[in-house]
Amino acid sequence: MAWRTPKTWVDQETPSADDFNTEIRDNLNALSTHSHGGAAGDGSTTLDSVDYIDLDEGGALSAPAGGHTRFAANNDGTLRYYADGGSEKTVSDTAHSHTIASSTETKASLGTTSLTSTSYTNTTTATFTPTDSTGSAKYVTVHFGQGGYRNVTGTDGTIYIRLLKAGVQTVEVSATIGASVGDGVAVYTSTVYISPTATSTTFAIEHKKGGTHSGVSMFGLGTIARQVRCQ
Amino acid sequence: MAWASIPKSVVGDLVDASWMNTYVRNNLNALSSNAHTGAGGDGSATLSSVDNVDLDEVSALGEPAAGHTRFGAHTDGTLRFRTNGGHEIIVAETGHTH
Repeated sequence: MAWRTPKTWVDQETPSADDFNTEIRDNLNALSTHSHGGAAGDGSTTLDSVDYIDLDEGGALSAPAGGHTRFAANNDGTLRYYADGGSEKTVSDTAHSHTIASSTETKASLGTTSLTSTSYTNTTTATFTPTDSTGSAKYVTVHFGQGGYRNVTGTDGTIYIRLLKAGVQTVEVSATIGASVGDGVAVYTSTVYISPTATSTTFAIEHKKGGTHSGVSMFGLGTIARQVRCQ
Repeated sequence: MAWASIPKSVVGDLVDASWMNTYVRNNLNALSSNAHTGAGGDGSATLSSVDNVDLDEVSALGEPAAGHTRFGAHTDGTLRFRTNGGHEIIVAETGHTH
């Protein structure tokens, strides 16, 4: 029964049964099921000074009406909400945790060799399968590479290394080696792949020398792939 | 219209227009806009056995009165709360990421 504005009573008026039914009974019935929709008789849409609300614990939430978000307690002890057009979500508490962990490293290396090529060469590959990040657990793969070089001819020049993922270059760096015989330099770099695809993948390093340099001894070229779980 | 405490009727009482307006009409009007402050006629300050609350989605929460925390839903689909003297904070869901 819808709410109706209560009438103003006047002296000498004899309330009829119809008066009592429409003015008192029906309005009390309307109030008895008020849901705070804001309409007269339905309670204010703003609840003021509420100490707390005891929510019944139930199962899954259904979608609310347009322009509304539904808030309720689940029988698993969590609070849930469901925005119009969205899906049911669980409220997180401040004590929640994320799992952070590191895998063992997968690595490959190449020993001493003479670097004479001006094109990338000596591909050194570690093969690693990242863990699936499509679920709630998220992973990154850190890819690191380094080469060590020594001048054996007395001519200065530039040494290049690059990292490749699945055969595709992802990062390239260079360093200058000194002009004297015996001068050395380490060239190194790293990169991070966020939530990489969970398939067997090659993580490689290659190197080359600049065109003006006559000869370099490389005494160690290595690549490492290591996975870190971030949550 | 504030709620008026209703006197206990006794035999011989005259129920006149003033009584009806004060204790029936005005009290019905007070109930019609109850906000559950706990005051007489305004509904209990503790709501018991509520199944769920459908919140209007709004763009921003105003600051509540002292000693209160306001809780509401934003039009972007998040839940928000704001304490007196504080600022609007978004509730995190368990599936949130860093």
